[in-house]
Amino acid sequence: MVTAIFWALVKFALILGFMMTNALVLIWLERKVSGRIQRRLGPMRVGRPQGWLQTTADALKLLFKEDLIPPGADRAAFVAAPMLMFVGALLLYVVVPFGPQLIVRDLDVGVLYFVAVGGLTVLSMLAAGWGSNNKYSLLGAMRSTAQMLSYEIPLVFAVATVTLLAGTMSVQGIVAAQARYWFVFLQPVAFLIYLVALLAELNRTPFDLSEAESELVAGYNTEYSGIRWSMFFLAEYANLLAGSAMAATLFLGGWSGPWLPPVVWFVLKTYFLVFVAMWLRWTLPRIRMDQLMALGWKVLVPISLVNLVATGAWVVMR
Amino acid sequence: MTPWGYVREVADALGSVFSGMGITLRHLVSRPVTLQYPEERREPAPGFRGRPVLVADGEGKPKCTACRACERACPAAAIRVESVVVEEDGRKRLKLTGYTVDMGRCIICGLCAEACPSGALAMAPDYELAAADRESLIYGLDRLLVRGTGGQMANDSDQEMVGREGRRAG
Repeated sequence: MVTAIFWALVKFALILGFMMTNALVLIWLERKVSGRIQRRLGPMRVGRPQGWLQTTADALKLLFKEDLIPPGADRAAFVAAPMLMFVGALLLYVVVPFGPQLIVRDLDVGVLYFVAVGGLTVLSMLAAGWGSNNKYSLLGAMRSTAQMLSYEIPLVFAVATVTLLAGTMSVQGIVAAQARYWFVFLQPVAFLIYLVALLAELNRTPFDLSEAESELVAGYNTEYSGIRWSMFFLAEYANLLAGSAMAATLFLGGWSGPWLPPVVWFVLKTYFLVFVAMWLRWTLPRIRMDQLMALGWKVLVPISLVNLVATGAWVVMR
Repeated sequence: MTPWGYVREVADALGSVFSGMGITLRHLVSRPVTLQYPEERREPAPGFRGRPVLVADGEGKPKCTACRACERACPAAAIRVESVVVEEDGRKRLKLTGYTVDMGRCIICGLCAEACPSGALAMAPDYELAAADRESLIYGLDRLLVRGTGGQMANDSDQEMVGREGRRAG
């Protein structure tokens, strides 16, 4: 009993550490990538080489800022929202397979768990938007709710296609099922749909309507500052990493790969997908709300549905 | 929309995303155009117009004849010329005793150098002119007089004025 609790705590600390350091690295990487794409240098001053300590310095600064709660705010919702977002991001890492043995818990319903816990983000955004007592926050929260509910469907369809092929929902089982072919080669359409829906789920450009700074100030986190704001920020990047890790698991063969140790392969694949997400962010402009809904319901849902049915038929006939 | 039109539209959208990503990837791998300013500095282009300076003659004295054309031409009233009348070989002429440019007022328009009939004013390529207080922005003869222009300056007095494009380099 005591040892079980001890090991659970050790795993918790490891996952938390992994998530925090990677979120900091990813924010720095995003700023570097955006800079280079715009032919700037990005952060260069804090930490040699290439300003790698910049986000650490920013996080420290944010820690010492005043804790502001706007008057008229729903205090409980306002305070709970960033923590919920952070915990939601942390929970995703329970089923991320870093290696053959390196996983917190290989749940039988691993993929389903991942999608379900990912849905927590909507709740925290809605709580933040409602609790802030600010029209821009509420508008941003409404938008992201509509967006995430719409894009959850093609996301689940794409994941279900992989589940059909693998015949299991356990992430390790899915990695094992890709021993011969990665699913990205068998299911390129599902892969693309998963990536697009993932970007929308994460509220990243071109789908960042919930924080559209040109219209909504900052969307659901307009009223947040200091440590609460940085929790949102870190959780956003932790979600990006978890989503990319799951994409690598479902479509790119997870930790499998020649020569290098499994963990290295896993991190390489995940970071490649993270880079693609950043690359897309600095390539595409933000789309309108009606375009967003049209893309979700008229393109992604029908295509992913047809793909799912066709895959199901193929699996049965085989 | 016909089914074929639908497929074409989706394919078009995907194609444009990929071509856009190609452009950003080219930018990503190209050299940044920005500089790390205090450590790295950009060389001013030939003919770059910075602060006005007084050009010295061969003996290191200003070529200025104290005619005050620059003072009159200055739209910001930044220039003050001080002179006394002296007699030399039985002829009266002006002798320059002081020349100040208030760099807090100067707008670096170059009208003074253009107005100068004796080629005694030129625009130097210096552009880092910030100071901590207003007094140190008032430049006297000591800071205005430069010996030898090296052909770097806009409105260079040693050269024939033939318009921007026709100016000799170096």
